[in-house]
Amino acid sequence: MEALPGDHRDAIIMWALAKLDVVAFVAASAAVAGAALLMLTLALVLKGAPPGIPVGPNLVELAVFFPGYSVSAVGALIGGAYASVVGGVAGFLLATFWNAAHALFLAVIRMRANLASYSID
Amino acid sequence: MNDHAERDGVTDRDVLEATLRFNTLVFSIILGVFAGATLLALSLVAHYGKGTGRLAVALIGVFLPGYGATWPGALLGLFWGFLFGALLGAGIYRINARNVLEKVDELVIAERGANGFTRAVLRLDGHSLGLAIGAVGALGLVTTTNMLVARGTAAESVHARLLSEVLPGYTVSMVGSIIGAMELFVVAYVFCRAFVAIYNWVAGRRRQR
Repeated sequence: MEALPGDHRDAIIMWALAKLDVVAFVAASAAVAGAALLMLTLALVLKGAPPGIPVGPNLVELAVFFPGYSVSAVGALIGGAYASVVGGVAGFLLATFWNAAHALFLAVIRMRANLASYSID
Repeated sequence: MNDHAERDGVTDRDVLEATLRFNTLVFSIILGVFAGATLLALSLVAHYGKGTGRLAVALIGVFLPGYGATWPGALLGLFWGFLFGALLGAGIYRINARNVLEKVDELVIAERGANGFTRAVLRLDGHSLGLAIGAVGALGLVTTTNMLVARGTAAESVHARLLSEVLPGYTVSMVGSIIGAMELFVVAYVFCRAFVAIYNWVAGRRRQR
């Protein structure tokens, strides 16, 4: 890892056009999304419901999209795994689009600079 | 950092503003496309599926006029999703980048590329991202809850009331929405801090190799 150049303007431009680390972004998105559904489900399981009333009747509708999911301890793990995959895919798409937009922007700048350097004279 | 450092009549602040405008636009478009595509897909799943997602579409339709499980409703969802996604994206990016000038050196990992050029990888700031997403989420909860109150359907909003299961003290009322918003802010802030900690750790480790 290197120190940044001393010029602030260069540092700002470098920051603005810096790419996201796709692997790190996917890992963080997957971990946070998985943990969120796991904790949400476990919170409902621990809270429980009066006898005869199902626990989390609305959250359990997620089973339509996540087969095997239920509002239970095991279901929380299964749901957490599914949410990790969904979060990871969303993170991958976001980071990839972000990097692609900046790569395109830099390519346009390079192309314009190259064209400007040519002279008919 | 001196944000009035001037070269060629242009200050650091001018450069930052120009780059922020571009990045805000990019982030807005990405979030707008994501939100629009999600609403479109949800509507089409509800339309062609066997009842799957109909409840979610109906609930979202309360806030987005015209949105429903039909083709015109799906296209309106694409429009509303893009509009609100872009607005949220702009808000999140601007709040997140509020204090960039003071710590810009900490937010970039510079590395030597294969061709000798310096490449930059973004580091994130957990506090700023937490404030941005927490604030936007909290404002969203207050707005949507009070829309239900203003419509006069607060008493019938059984699904909104379910939020009290995870946000204790939340009710479909002005006071309840503020209590829920404060709790949501804290939850979003903590999750953002965790997200950024993981991202920065993985990104840093990959560059130490």
